[in-house]
Amino acid sequence: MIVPPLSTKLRENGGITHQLRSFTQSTGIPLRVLDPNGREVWQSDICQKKNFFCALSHGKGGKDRFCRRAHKKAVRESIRWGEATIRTCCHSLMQVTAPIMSHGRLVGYLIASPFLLVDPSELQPDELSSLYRSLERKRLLEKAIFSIPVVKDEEANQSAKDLFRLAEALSDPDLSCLREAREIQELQGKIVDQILDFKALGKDFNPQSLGRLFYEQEREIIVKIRLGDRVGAKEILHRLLAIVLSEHLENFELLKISILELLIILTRAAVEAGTKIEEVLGMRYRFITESAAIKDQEDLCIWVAHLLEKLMDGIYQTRHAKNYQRLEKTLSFIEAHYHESITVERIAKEVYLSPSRLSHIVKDELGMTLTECVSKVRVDKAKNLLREKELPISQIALEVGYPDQSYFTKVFKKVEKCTPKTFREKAF
Amino acid sequence: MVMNHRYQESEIHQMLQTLSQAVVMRDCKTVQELTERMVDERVDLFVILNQGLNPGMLWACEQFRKGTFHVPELLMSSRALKIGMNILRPLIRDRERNVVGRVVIGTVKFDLHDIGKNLVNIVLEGNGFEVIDLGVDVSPEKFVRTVEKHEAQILAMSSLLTSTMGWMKSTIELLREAGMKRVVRTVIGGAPVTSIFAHNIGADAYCAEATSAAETVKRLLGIEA
Repeated sequence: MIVPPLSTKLRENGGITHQLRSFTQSTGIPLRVLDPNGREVWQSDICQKKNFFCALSHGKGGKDRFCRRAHKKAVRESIRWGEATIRTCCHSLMQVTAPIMSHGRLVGYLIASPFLLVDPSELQPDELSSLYRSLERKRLLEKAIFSIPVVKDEEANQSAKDLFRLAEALSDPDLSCLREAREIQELQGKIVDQILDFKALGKDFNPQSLGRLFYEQEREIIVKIRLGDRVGAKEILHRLLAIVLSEHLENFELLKISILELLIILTRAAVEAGTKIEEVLGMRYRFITESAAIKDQEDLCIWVAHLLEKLMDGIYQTRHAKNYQRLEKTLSFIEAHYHESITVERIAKEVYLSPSRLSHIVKDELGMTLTECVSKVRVDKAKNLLREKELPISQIALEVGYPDQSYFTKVFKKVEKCTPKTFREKAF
Repeated sequence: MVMNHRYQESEIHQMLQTLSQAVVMRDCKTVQELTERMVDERVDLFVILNQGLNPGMLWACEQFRKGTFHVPELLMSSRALKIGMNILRPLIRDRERNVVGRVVIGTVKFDLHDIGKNLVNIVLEGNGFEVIDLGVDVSPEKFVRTVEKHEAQILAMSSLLTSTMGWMKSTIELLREAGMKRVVRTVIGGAPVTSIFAHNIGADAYCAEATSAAETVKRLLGIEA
């Protein structure tokens, strides 16, 4: 496929150059469109002014190799994160970068720079000295620095969003190819959050305790999948992935085997929830054939995350769709309000059903009463707190919605077959 | 905790808290004023660092993780931290004149995070180590080359992303290939890095937080902490 170069696109599309110009007008930040080799394709008028800081700093016609390197890194980052990135550029000034893609390939990028997040008069001596690298032009630069726009934190964030939209308009067909990158990074962020929680356990964090936690979470996720609790299942999947990564990040083959094990657990739960066995076998087969091509852990993790979504979709379809919407709403209401007093009437009002009708639906679809369901969520939350925080049990009871500690212990015992105290002792 | 006569301990405590808060709020002026005032009052330099500046930065990082802070806020908090550190650094350096060891430090390849690493850097310097900081995005070759050139006893690596942690393993392998693995002790750290990972890749130690860096490294070298 022949892709017209960026310059042609800009020349033929007056609308887009108008938008580029208004970016600079509204933010005050100079904007440049560069090709993948760092050559300028378009620039805002400010960049041609005599006192333009970057031009002065580089000297006549000179391109700074530090700038180029900084740009290159910024572009690489913005592709990795799937969004416009805000970074310092070569002179401790700021830049926003967004990639321009055509059919998954980088064809150029937008650089909005330089700008400052603090007033130039407040710059520290070491920050200033890095700016005046060219001593012969020091005096000119000292003046030019006051022409650099100063942007507030939130304005910089907004500029990044605007720049991404501009890059999207210049991309072909758009920047949806970066969506997966963003999704991958979001998932990794959630996994790291879980790892940080494990690490907070201190010396109790070791392969044995991770193994125990894995089996416990495995049982939990089966319950969540059977309940059709998408949010809850996802959260546990992040924890399971964090365990697997903590154990085998450095050994890709072992990691793959652990992920396969995870996949079998998830699909088995889906079968118990009513998904046809043929569909599940098809998914397992696909993993085995597709995983050969997967080369890094990020892709493996996102593969499993997508699989969970598909499984949950399948479960919703096999059950009564309308009831399920209400069930999902009920479950997310409980998730959001478990620490408050929850009555059947309150939930019923939320999902537009009569209390008795709601009770019936919950009993039919989940095989448990609404009260049991609320208890389950609260006990789950309490288990997390017991594991992670050294709070007194009375405090935990209160935080999960039981003002009476002895009643909490009773409920906990019913669900977990042990008291909160024993659970805490056993946990780690 | 502190040797001075003008302020009560509770007042110092209050100042440390305000200092933390100023880092979070990116209030560079307050950071500078308070750090200078506490230095003048002979508050222990490491108390200012570990109980004032550092907790503020950790809190800002936590806000970033939660999504309430974005890159500009985090960068400005880190700038405030740096302003405080610039005051402490020369004083800390002066305090410990006997060099107890040489450390090469850096963030691994394709990773551009440096806040944690910079904290480790100053903690090590303050404990008498000579630190050669290679910055961010450091390749295994550069790590090994620098360690060899400066005859460092310690190689410290940081990684903030699950996707870049593999470079720690590559670096240690390269160190082994170069026949330096036994001579040079390796220590790793960063949000996704765990003691299990350190053990699996053959790193000699895992450092859980910046404040314990000196202790960890001293233990590795067999120096009394």
